[in-house]
Amino acid sequence: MYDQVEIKPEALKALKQAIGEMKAKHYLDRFLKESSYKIKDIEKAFSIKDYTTLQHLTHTHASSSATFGAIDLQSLCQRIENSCAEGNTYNMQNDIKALKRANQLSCQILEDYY
Amino acid sequence: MNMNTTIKRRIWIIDDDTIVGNILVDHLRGSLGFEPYYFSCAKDAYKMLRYVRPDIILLDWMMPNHDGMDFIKTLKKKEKTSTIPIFMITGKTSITSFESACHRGIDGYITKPIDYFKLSSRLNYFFENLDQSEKDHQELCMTKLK
Repeated sequence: MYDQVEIKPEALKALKQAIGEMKAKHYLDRFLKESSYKIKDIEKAFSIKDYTTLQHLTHTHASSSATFGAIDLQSLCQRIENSCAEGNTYNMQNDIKALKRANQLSCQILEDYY
Repeated sequence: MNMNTTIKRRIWIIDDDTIVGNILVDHLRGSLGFEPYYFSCAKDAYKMLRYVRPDIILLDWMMPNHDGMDFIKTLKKKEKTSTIPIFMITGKTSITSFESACHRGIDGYITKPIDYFKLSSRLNYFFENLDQSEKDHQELCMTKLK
């Protein structure tokens, strides 16, 4: 289980340079708001064994996480996404628990960023 | 004359991740004077193709229902849409993924997380080349007429 997660500040810096500080903050706020819902959807898809939806949700969350430099969150999402693609559900429950924790920690760090 | 300063290039972004899609719109509109338009699903973009032709499509690979590869297949089938340039935007970083996208006839491959400035440079370079080939073609036609 994760006790700490890594956030790449370069990603946020690049985002600010690309669209400006105000807009970067706007999208980060949106990401933070939507994250917990995404995790709920991921848990739901797993509970009903809908691996196609689970694969898609983790893929999208990996992409958004990477945008804000949440690299541990991104790699956990990718791990679950790959497991879905390979049809390997062994240990997926633990990965989803870890994902939930990593999401919580990443969001805390990102909230403090601004 | 730099055509990029006079012509607004229509750039379509198709990505089911609305955050990434909107960030791209803001970046391309804000700093470069392109005319970006965002679609969260390929189906909506396909419907719009009946009325508007984009200068390029930035297309996400992994999307539910109609994914990027399916979309390219649909575009390539029709003469009217087969020549629209496509840049694939994806989290898939393997050579195999790159090769299979190339086999479908893409014009560029950008990996996520997106390097925004690299993307804008590649788009500028792409359009500059396009302008040059159009100019060369026009000159050739004029020479033939003479």
